[in-house]
Amino acid sequence: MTSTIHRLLYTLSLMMLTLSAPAQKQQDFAGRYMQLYAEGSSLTCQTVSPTMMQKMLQLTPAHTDDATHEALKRLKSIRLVTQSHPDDAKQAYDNALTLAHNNPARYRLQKEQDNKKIFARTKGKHIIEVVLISLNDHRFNLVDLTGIMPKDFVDSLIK
Amino acid sequence: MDYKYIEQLLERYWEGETSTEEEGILKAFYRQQNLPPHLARYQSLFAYADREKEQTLDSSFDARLLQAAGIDNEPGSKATKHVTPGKFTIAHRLRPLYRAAAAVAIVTLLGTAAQHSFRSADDKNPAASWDYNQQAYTDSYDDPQKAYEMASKALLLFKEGPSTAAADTLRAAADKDSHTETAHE
Repeated sequence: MTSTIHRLLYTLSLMMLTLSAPAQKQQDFAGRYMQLYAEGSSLTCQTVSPTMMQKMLQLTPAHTDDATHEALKRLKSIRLVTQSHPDDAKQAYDNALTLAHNNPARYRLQKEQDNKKIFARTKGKHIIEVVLISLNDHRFNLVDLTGIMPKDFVDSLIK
Repeated sequence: MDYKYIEQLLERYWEGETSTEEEGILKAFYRQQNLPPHLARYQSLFAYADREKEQTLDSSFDARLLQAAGIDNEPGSKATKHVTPGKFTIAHRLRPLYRAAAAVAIVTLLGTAAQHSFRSADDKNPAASWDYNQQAYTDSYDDPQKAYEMASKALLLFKEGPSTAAADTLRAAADKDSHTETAHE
């Protein structure tokens, strides 16, 4: 009797874990990157939160331009990670690429040009995260956009 | 009569060295009625062994045992039913494996169904697919106009190389801004 109850509880908890797994809150790429590599480095991260994105969209048109405004309407957050020491830029760039390549099921390479790579995370019919990783002239930049974006959003960003 | 042989057998008997045949001789000897006094004292021991050997279970033993165990022994009851031993086949041996496989299949099926339903919900309601933790975002700017400028320049990085003026401006702003997130956060 006791073992039956134990089996039942075990099965139920397994089912609950299975069901709750997709509902977990996720961490974006830049957040994870800073968590892994920022300590003791000169990496800096600028953030625009979903709340601030809403405020930005309420700015008067005089202070905005249409193309940017249209793009921002699709976004929920923006993060920009930079490296202030040029000597460390290559290492920061390699770390970012490693992190992306270590999560191939999550981040898929969308565009690639020299030392500029764009990864995207999709969910259903939408892109929900776009990550730009670039290294040029000893300058490292990581731009992380989250939001509800159409599949051709990356193309529109590049144009 | 010389009882020396019996005395030797007895000595060996006490030492535990007698064979079954020799013990049989001793038992046969002690079945006699007239024994010398110095040997007669062991008669009760061998007589007891003989007596116990004749003990058998009587016909009521089974009934008494079942009664003590609380099992009904009435005709037609479970206790009197004829039970044939079942064959323990490979299928029986693998039954726990089937059960485990079935449990895994059920959990996987439910998980897949749940994921499918979540995905369908995402397609119907795109806003639900944004699964990030909103609390994890701490603004670097209090002024929406400044945040807008940073955002528009960040978007420019997709179009242009990072060595452009836009990138340099962003980097300079990042270095100076006191609200910037750092590793110490």
